[in-house]
Amino acid sequence: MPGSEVGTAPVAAEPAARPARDRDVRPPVYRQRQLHGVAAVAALVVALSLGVDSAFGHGLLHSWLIYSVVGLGFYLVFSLSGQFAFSQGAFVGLGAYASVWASEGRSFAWGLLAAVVLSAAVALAFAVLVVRSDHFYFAIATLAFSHIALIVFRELESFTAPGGEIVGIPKPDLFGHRFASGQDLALLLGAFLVLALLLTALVERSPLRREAVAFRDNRQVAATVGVPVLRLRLGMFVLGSTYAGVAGCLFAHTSGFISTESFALELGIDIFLVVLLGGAGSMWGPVLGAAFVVWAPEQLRFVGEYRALIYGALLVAVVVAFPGGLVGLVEAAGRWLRRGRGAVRLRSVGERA
Amino acid sequence: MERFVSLFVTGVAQGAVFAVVALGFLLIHKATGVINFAQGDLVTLGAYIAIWAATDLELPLLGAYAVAVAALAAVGVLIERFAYAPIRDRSIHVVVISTLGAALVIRAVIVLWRGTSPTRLRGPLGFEVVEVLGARIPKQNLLIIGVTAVCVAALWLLFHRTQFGRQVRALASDRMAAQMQGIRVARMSMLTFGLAGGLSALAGVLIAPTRAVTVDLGFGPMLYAFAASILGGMGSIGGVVVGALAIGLVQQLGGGYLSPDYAEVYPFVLMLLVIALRPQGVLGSEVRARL
Repeated sequence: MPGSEVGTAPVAAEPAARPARDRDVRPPVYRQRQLHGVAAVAALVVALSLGVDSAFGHGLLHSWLIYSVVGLGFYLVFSLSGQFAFSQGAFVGLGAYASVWASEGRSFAWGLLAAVVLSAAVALAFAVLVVRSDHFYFAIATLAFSHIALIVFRELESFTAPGGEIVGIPKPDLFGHRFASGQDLALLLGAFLVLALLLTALVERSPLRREAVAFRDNRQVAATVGVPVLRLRLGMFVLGSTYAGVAGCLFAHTSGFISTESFALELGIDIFLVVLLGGAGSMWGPVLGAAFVVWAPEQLRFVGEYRALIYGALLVAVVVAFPGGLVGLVEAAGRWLRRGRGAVRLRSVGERA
Repeated sequence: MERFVSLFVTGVAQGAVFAVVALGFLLIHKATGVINFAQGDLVTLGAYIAIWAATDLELPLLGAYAVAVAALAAVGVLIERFAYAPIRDRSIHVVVISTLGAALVIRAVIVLWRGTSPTRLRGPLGFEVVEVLGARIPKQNLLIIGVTAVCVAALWLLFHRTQFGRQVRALASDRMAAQMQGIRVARMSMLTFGLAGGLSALAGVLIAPTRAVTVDLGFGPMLYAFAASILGGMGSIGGVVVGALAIGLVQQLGGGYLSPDYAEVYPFVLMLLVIALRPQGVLGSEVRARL
């Protein structure tokens, strides 16, 4: 990857220049190694798409990749800039319907373009409309937005289809190649996930992250120290919602079937779990969380009907007891290991003295 | 004319139910500064407990209603203890997620307990109707309006004429000062969650006889109660009640005269307009920030 050398060059110099207090803001395990991580995810996707040979396995792989993209968008909106948006699932739906509508009789690229443009435009219009709302009002407004969106998908048949159900959506085609096999699809979705990760890494490495976190933690203070609050808030919401739109487009063309139920409350809850369970403090959280949300129900088939109960309890348990999520657990393990080494070194110093 | 009267009364009755739910929001919001996203599922749970008490325990209908209200008051306190009290000092987002998780748990418990097929709850008046200006009005709607009126009056007295109400208002106007004056914050938040739980059960048993009872029963009323709270500015009982009635009327009249397909959408459009143009609410004046 040619871009990685350019990207990693300033990294080595940066930690030294940063004051110690600031360093704690960033998860140490992943500090400034985003591009390594992206490469690792890309390698993992390629390995998995080659290694998995059952249709069922490919289905899980596809779900993981799509959920990861949605989760990354929600990470930008919710974890970084602290906007409590229930609208992520609705934007997945918007992207799905828009892409099916625009790609009918045309190439998949038109559908993708429509999904990006429409979800970005609608997100911007909505965010501008409710720009004066604070935390709770914004949450409620986005809840209402997704409710309205579901009704519109169902009723606006000229845009969607009778009852909002569309079957037989063609598989995606790009540059004259149709991605029909499970392996091709996994590679295509993987490419989109890598793109999404790279874009997120850019945000992570820019002052945007710092400003977004300042905005999240205290809006008034952030505004008084010169964070461009309005631009930040709108920008992050539009970017994150566009991720969802793209994921919706990919979902529609991968599964070949969509209905309004695909984008109902359950999807919103899954998105929350993806981000919170994975770890809201890190861009790798959604990728891990998506793997869990896709993989766990298959492994925990015996819990069957208790699944919803467990998900709800898990949500409370994670925010109450493990706010760092899975990534937080990994970091805690890393810290514990380092602390072990540090303790040994201290003792040896003591012995010498 | 009959059509208008019929839609109008239905709108007021629906609005009255939304008002009862929204008053629960208001109580908790005043005493703790947060919003309980599990309120909708508490409404559903209240209706299901009333059905259980009336059919399985064969209690008389009013007894079943009382069981539901008492049980939900207890559930409200449980939610406060497990999903709110441990994280009271964390960010607002954490509280929202936690009440959302509680909502999921309640919903899952209902599905496990009673299944997903729709059931019914009898109303005390059955399907009787009265004729008003040529329109046939179900008596249940008039009952809803009457019970809500009593409930609102009682809450107003509670807010403005008792020690409890004075303490809630003190917490709402300045939390820290109220705490330093010796108001027991933990006890107040338990009491308001319990009271709000009881109110949701009341809303549940009022609305359940007018429709099929499914696990989604409370979700719509919760969304409309949010909208009502925003219209009323989350400030006063009067504001919330007027907001709720407006939401009910917009939904029914919009559905009746514009397009029934989008009946559920009109109240939210109104709410989004209010957020866009007058975020402190049409009737509210409060602008506060939790720093």
